[in-house]
Amino acid sequence: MRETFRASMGFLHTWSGILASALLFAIFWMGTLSVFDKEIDQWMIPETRLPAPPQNISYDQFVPKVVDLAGGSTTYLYFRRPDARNPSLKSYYFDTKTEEYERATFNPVTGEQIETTDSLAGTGFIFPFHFSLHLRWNNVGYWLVGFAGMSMLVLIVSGIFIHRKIVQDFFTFRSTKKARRLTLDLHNMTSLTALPFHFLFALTGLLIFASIYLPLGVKSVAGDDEQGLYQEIYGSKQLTPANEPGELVSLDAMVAEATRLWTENGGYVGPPDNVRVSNVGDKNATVFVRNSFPSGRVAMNQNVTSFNGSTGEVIHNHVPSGTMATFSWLEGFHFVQFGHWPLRWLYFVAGLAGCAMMSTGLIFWVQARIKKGAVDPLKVRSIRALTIGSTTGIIIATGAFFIANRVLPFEAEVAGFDRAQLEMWAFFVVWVGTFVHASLRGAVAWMDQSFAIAGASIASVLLNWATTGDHLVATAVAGQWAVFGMDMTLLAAAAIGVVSGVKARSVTAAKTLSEKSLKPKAAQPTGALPAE
Amino acid sequence: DTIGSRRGEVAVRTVAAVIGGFAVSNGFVASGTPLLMTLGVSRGDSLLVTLMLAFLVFTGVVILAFSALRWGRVSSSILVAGAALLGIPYLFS
Repeated sequence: MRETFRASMGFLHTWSGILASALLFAIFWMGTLSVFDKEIDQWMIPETRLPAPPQNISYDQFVPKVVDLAGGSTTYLYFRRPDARNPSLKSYYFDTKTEEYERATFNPVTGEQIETTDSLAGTGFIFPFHFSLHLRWNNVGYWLVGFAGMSMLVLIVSGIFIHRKIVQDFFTFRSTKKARRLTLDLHNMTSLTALPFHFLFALTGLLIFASIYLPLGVKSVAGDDEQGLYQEIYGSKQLTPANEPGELVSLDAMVAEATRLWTENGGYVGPPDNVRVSNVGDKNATVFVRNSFPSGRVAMNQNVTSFNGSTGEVIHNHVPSGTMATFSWLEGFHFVQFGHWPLRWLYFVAGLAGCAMMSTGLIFWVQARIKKGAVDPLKVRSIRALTIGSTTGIIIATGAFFIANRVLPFEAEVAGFDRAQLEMWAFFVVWVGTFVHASLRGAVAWMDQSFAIAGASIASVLLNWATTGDHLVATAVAGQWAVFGMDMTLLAAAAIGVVSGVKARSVTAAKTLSEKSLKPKAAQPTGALPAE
Repeated sequence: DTIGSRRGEVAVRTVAAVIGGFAVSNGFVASGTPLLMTLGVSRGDSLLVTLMLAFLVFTGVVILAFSALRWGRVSSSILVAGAALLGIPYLFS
């Protein structure tokens, strides 16, 4: 490799960075937004802007309503308990008419079904984009995300080895120096300040999908008993369907029984937050009761109680092992579903730092190439366009997603695509457009796109006001903190966009001058004297 | 040290890092789990432990593949180790 270990790590860091950073930025950006995916849901689906729900919810009143929606009978039911962040009751069911899984949203206080804006919003678009890129063919999306995650671990470890004065770099930010020095300082600072966060996020993200990313290992251990292995680890025991009809008994009673069992076994983890029924209508329907994300602790919870749906008796109450508790802590760390607002905001800020880390890395590479004299070749121009499109570009596309959400009519449908799909189209079409724009405009695109981010953010806030009447004062007075927070964050993004755009304008002006002076003499107009 | 041989070196190291790394981490799970089970740990728990460590192993292999050691030796060692870690449990099953 190179003469020294440090130089080899420099090579590894640079080239894995070039390969993975654009992809990583998309994953990190969407991940950062996913911290507030439920709040984004409330903003994009205004009908769900409800006050905090009561503590005790009865699922039994909703079972007949959902079964009715499913066409009189169904094989699958799922209820998600509403809470302060997610104040409506969400249910999923298997629709026997369309033979697809559908969603229904209810007001937990009045019991009425809510006619919701058709939008995938935060939990349906932004969050799944983060872990699957919405590329479902042969799990390609999961594998790309896995590749990016592994690259990030390698980038962090190699990045540490490159440092000469690692402690000093924590505190070095020479804002008055030239752009290249500033970029590298910013890159080092955003990387080091949140280093444990970055490393743990890459690692825990990979762990969540460990069975996808280590298929040979898992298959080797499972042999032909994959079902048994998962039951052993996760403890959800499902009854084999009896193929005889059966009536579902009270879900509320099962929820109460599960709560009692968990309290009895020590370490009460709170009321169940979801109920799932499989093989509904069968004599051996199975009901799974879980509290997957307890509010008061980091660790996810793999306690699950399985019930016989038609008799209400407990089939199995699974208590996860100590090793599973460790694994669950790592998963819970990543999912950030626990109720700790300062930490949640810290995650958001650290996520943005991660995005800055990746973009400054790419920008530094382009700047370093230009300094070496490679001003105009295709390689530098294309990496720069790639950087712009994958950083400011994806942010603009997200803005387009929010704008489309507010602008599209309730019953919108074009060329067979429903409203939710049209919002996604807006995102992807605009995103591609930002790459095209960046290719055409060169370095000036930074300024253009920064201002575009500001414009899109302000437009989103104004459109929210125009279409729902929920402006900042109204939401603050009504205690609609999800919507208030979203609008305020959009305004903050607008401010950052304006400042970045102004800064980009002055940097581009200076850079264009220096680029012109580096161009080879042969490129001058023909009227000039030949070069010395 | 021509450009051609340098490109070849990077290619071989990359294959060792990516494919070899994948083989070694999967093999770590495949071999490590039954090994832990001989110490009395349950199958599920053994698997969870090796899964939690596997991505750190993968990272280590990539770093090793690109470190300053002789590239032919380090690359082939990684690939052989991967094949062994995957193959031995398969032979025993």
